[in-house]
Amino acid sequence: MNPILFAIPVFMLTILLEAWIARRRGIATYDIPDALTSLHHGILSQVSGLFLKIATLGIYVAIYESYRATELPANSVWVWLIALLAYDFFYYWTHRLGHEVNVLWAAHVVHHSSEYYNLSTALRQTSSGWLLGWLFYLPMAVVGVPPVVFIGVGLIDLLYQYWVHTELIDRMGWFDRVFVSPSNHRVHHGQNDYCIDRNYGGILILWDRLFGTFVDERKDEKIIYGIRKPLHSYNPLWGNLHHYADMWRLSRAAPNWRAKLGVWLMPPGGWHDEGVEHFDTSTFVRYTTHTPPAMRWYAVLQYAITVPFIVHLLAVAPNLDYAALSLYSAGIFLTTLSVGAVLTGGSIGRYGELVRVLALAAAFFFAPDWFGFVAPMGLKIAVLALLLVSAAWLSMTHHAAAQGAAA
Amino acid sequence: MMGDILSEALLAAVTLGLAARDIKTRPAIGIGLGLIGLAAILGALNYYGMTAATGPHRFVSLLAACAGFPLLVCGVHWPQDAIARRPAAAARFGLVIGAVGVVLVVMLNFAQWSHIVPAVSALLIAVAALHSRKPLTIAGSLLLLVCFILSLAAVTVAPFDADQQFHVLMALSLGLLAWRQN
Repeated sequence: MNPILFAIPVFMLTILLEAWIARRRGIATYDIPDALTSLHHGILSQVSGLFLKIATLGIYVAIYESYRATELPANSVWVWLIALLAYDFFYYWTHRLGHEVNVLWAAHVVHHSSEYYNLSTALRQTSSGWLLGWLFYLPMAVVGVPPVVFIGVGLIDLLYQYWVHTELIDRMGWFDRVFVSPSNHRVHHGQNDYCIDRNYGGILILWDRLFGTFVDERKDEKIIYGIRKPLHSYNPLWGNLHHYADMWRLSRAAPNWRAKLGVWLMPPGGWHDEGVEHFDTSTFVRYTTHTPPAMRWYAVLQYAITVPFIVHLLAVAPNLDYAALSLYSAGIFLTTLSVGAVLTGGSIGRYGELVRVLALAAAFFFAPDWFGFVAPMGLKIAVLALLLVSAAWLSMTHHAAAQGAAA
Repeated sequence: MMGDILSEALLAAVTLGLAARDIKTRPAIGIGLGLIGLAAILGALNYYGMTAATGPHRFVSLLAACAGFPLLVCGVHWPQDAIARRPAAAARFGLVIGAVGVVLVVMLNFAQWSHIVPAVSALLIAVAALHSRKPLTIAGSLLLLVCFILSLAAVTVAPFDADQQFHVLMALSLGLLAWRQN
């Protein structure tokens, strides 16, 4: 059973709770299109993981089986503790190189592309981290950390990092200097000059103090979140590919094969021995498409309808054949693209969404079973009604928008 | 057994000594030699009877073959490039080319990759050495080629067995190649 399944309800509830508290305190920490885009990235990451995590875990298992020094006992608390410490150490370097090497940044940039900082940002995860991220943990396989321990401590490290993505928790004293905390991780997500390439730790911030990348949050300087070359898109596919596209263009323009290769290995922005380029925080404006409030809530409703589907997909994935898994994943993938297009605005996005909603309504209602799940008629009717109301509303707003444009 | 330990120890001493000298000024060569040296140390421990070193020795040898030799090529062939001059660039190149090697050899069972890469590297190093017109570099590169040819042809010269001969010839060839000449 995929453990993320159990975390999803916790994620959803805590995001709602954080948004509610932020609203009560009058802090503009949430923007619906941005938060939904983060969640869509999270969905894509999980869906792509269904196909690719097997491969990357497979490398770990293969190295463990063929090259391990010894077989450490998986039932020892000490093995788990030392493995967690080792994992966090290698995570530090994976994360650091994720910021300092173009080809790794292309995968990790996804997580930094939100200009807001909240719990939904934590779920804005890459779909291409499998390309090289596994490499850094192979020493654990060679030492003899069993795969089950590796998966377990990896999950602990990942889940720990969820709660630090919030503006609602202030500085925490000594805790900020030992562990990764909301305060020092806010710095990590900042674009301010003092924030660049800082605070890479996963659980322990001590690694940053040890390797000289730690910096404390400054009270006198508001942190501006996001990336220096902003994404400016609600499309999660483009969110995953935009830096690869940039590198591809640069690589094509490079004069010879060594320069082409160099583009992928150099730091984002090129080799620079001088300091980082100055960023004027006073001129920064957050990206928005001024999506109408009704359309924002429509997108929230579609996300709410999609969550049970993604939970079901993650639950049944091991039992599905490749064709069914691909079909189900493609449907979820198209949903994220379509809702992203609706948030961006424009008639093509609304047309596409109308087709998607009607197709899903028909498929869920008329299919004898939904990828192994025989839905009760009451549920079928409820989903059908929700989707048909969505389609009708979309159609009406499209009509109104077209009339407005004609006038 | 003692011959195996000594030949691995010789290779480790030569490569790690040169790696320590070159790591700052010629990082690609330094890291490449360092990987070969680390594999040799683990090999010596393995022959000494430390069975826990067997797997790590094989793994680091794989990395040395797939990443160490290409790094040497970059350092010798293109000494002005970023990979040859910048430690960070050399390490990144090593990581990426090492990852490719691990995937090909371990996951896709293309074991020949770990032989092809060092062999092609030895050829490229020989070409660069001939262009350099430095006698010791040329001698080192030719000896490296001889080392691989003898290994591929399974020809041994007494008193060595195949592994010992490979390690001793590699130690000599890398020592000559990395020798600083004006």
